[in-house]
Amino acid sequence: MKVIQLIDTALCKGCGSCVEVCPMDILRIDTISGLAKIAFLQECQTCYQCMVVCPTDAVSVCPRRKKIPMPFNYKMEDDENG
Amino acid sequence: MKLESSGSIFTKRGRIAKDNTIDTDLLVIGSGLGGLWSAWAALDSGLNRVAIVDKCSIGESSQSKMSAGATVYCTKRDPFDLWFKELVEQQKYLSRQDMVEDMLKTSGQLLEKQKEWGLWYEKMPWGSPTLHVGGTKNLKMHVLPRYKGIGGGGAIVNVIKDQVLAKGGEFYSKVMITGLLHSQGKVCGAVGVDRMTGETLTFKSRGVVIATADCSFGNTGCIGHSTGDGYKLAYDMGARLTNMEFWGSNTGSPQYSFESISDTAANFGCRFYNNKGQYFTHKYTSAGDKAEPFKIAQAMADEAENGGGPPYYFDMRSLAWRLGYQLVLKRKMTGFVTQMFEELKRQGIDPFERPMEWVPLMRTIRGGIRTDMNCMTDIPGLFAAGTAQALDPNGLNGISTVRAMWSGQQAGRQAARYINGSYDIKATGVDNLSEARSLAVKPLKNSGAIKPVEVIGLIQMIVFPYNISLKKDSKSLLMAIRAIRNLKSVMEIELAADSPHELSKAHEAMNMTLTAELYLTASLLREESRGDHYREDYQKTDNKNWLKWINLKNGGNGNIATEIEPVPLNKYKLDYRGG
Repeated sequence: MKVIQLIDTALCKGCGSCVEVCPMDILRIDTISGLAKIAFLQECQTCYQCMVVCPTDAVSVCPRRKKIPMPFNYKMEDDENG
Repeated sequence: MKLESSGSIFTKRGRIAKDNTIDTDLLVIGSGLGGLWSAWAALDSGLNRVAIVDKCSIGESSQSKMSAGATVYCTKRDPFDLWFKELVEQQKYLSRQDMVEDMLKTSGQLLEKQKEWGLWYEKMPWGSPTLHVGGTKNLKMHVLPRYKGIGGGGAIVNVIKDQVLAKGGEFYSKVMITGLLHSQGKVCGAVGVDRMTGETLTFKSRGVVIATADCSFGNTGCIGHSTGDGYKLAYDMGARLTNMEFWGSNTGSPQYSFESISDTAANFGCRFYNNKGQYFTHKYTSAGDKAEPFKIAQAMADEAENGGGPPYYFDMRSLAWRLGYQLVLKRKMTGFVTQMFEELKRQGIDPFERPMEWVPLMRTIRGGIRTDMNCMTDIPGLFAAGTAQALDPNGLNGISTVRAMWSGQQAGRQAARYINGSYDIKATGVDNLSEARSLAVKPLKNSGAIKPVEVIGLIQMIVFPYNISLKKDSKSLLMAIRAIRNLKSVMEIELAADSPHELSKAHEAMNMTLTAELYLTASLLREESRGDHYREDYQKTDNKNWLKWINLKNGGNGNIATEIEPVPLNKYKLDYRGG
């Protein structure tokens, strides 16, 4: 499953806007390149905040979100019953 | 189409002493509408220094910003009595009616104040800025806010954020508050960690407002960062929490971030189908597809037991809805829902051409920190605002927003009043500074084997099953309580973090674990069904015995102390009349 897909290093200027607004704290500025990078991909919640604030359109987000917990995924049952 | 960006993203940090201490009059934790309105009201009431802290960015990452910005304002032209009655009935008579009354009565003034500051609302093609609130007959909400070219929740957040800046509020973004400080039973600040560097910061203040939103247990829908942070801060201090058994449910797409839209769409003729292509909601609720969101979610659970799903489908092909989208939403609405429509179309998926798979989704805990009318908790100097404060059962679009504005300005004004009348707490010293600083970084120093992300996954496996979330029963709840307590005891020894990012996640995991235990405990205690809270083994609403609130607080030694408090209907404007 994809969430935030890509930060295009050719377009990114390293302004840090996406890092600042990410509610899940998954983005960082790479200490070597000085550009934004996806540090904790699995925690992305597909909220588009990074894409919206990017001044150079360097961020792409896929609309398909990761598998989320929902009531029909499991049922609480006795260990004995599986 | 790209959504408008919000105003200034970056905020300059306020003053920090060399020892990483910040001295302030009032500390506000959280920067959505509740936090920002608190800060503004406190500054407007004469406080000199107000520090606003957020674990993400100031305003920009808040739940308020993520919302579409729809808000119920009761203006002079609106029928207050009718709206008040409908709201209390929707909240199943567990409303804090004094708060609801004051909120509605002053909401028109809040609207006027924001208009003075430059906020305005787009009008619909029929000339009104309002729409009916889904699942209600009378309530109306203003739906399309605008401010400096910004739309959606960003507009209502930025209008107040600008006012806080203008009054000299000091911002501290990327700081996760991990514990409150106290002195002789009064709150006097907090300790937090910088999420980027891992450094510990100490805020010394004479009052604290908790405005950290509620808890989604890390679920998505763009509220995965609502992790019960304020609940634990208040609980650890000994404050009571209430209504924790109510967990707001809604419906949405399992694959895409379409949530909290079907109640509005159903008013435009959109329909729910079961796995046989049949309408089904009318079998479980008389309002059918136009029922309150939690009833649709519960209907899906009921239909599952009759073999009708999952999967379920939501059909957005209605002509009225498509026209509404083209004429209003596409042109004027902002937020992730419209962004989602456009991204889907780019990928060749058109939600207006074929029904989409749809499921019940659990949103956020409705309960929270119990306060009085002044938004003060049981602990002197500690206030709560926004959705961190206990809300009434049953979420409706547009209510949380106005409640956050109301409680925010109330908490800020009363905190200022409290602080101006209190003694200088700095003279008495802090009782728990070294302990709080040590606890803040404890997971970093732990060599245990469990990572926060694993804990969060386990919490979700315990609370999300439908016999725990949508249709509870005592046997399942008891099993879940046992599981969450086991997890808690293992976590105390084994939870470890190896980076500042993981450190804040570890605190979120601890906060969610406590929230889960409170939710399960209150759910087991309420032996009836009411609103969002449905008990398979007590299916009826029991107004004779359960027009009561369940309050929970720290009982010491890892135990939760419980209290059943009758709703004082005899003192309230609207008494329950039976039925």
